[in-house]
Amino acid sequence: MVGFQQMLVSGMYWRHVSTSILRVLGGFSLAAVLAVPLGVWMGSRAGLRRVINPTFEFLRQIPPVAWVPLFIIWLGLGEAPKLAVIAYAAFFPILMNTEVAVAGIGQQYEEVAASLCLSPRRRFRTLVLPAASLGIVTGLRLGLGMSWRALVAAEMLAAFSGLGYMVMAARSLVRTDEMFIGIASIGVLGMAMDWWGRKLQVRLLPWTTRAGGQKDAKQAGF
Amino acid sequence: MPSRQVSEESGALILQLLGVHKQYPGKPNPLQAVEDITLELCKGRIAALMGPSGCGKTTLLRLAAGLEMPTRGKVVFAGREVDGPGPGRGIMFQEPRLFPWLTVKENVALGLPEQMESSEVSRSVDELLALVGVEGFGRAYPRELSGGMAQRVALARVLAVDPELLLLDEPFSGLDIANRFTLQEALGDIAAKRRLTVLMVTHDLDEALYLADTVYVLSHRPGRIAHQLELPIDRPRERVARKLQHYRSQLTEWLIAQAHR
Repeated sequence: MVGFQQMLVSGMYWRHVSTSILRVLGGFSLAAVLAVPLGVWMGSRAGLRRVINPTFEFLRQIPPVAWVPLFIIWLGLGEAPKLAVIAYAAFFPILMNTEVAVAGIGQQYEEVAASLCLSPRRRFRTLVLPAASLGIVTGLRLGLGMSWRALVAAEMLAAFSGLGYMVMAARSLVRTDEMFIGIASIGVLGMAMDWWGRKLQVRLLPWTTRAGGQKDAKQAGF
Repeated sequence: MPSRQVSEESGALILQLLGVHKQYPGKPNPLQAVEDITLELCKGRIAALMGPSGCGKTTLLRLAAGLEMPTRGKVVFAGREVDGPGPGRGIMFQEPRLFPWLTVKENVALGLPEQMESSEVSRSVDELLALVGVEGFGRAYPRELSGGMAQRVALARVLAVDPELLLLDEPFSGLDIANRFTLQEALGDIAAKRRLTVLMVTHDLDEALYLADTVYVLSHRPGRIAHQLELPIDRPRERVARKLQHYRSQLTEWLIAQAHR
């Protein structure tokens, strides 16, 4: 454990942790910014889905790590290929969940929106977005998990920092303790991120939980 | 087509179904829902559609709302042929269909104009909720409401649109008798106050007798207008009025005859 204590004291461990977290957040945000709007767009157009989906189905099957060598050739050795791999991994669960959620908005609600003559903007804000939000959040949570996995894989192959690198570097020195700590950190951070995602869901989508509006109901002797 | 005046008392024609047929495509056989329906409704009148289940009553409402297009014939609202949902017509479905992610207040506010100021929205919503007897539940979510409550909120939402033509699909069927009476009275009041024209589907004989100026009895599928009953009695009516008895027996007879076909 001496080696790890040194890492802690020298701040190495924390640098690995923060580097990894920043990469995940960066790649994940990139994926979310691309996949959510695209998913909403594709979800509302069946024709578009039929044209584009085969391509995505093909790309989705490829493990993100398989792209690492190509991304390095295309994007160089800096942060860009790592962000690209992470974004690639997170992209598909976000896209597909968003798309399915938007496409699955109940006909009965669409009819209400139509009969109330809601403007497109209002319909989007009060129907499409909230109706699809549970699916979008599910996609985001899955995407976050995927990007965490992809990150570790990318760091093992092509990085000189981050938790994945830490585990690989420990291997070459046969430092089993550091390897375990690296692995445990990956698990704990992944869990923490998902916990945070769930919290956010409760905050943003109060109707999916039991909390909202109960005070009112109690007041009325419910 | 310009709206034509019929007479001073009955006012302008609001809704016309002219030789309307509706056929749904089906796998072995297409389904003929309604056949050759012609019906006219003048401003301020209330008409009830009755008849056996599956006779196309709901289809007629959906045609009037513009949610379906007739396969033949046409639907005319305020002098213009209906080619889709549009302002001036509000439909209340058999199920409340409240948006589960919006609070009761927000659901009702959906019917109000988008540009309305928020203080104004808040005031109007409170008024509407009071009108249908759902006070103190504004911040609740729909799934915290009972079926009857949700139905009242749906009524408030459609009234928020301030429609000229109100289309109601068994609006009070989920309510107990006391609530039903209260809401029927409220609806009669509102309709009179705002000179609303109402087309409602109902299985409730008393509801039809209490509210309707005209009752149409539809035949079993494909739905045709089998009988038409005019009730020239002023509203609000006595529920147990002797003069309703004659109409009640007549309607009962017709409904039984249609049910046994």
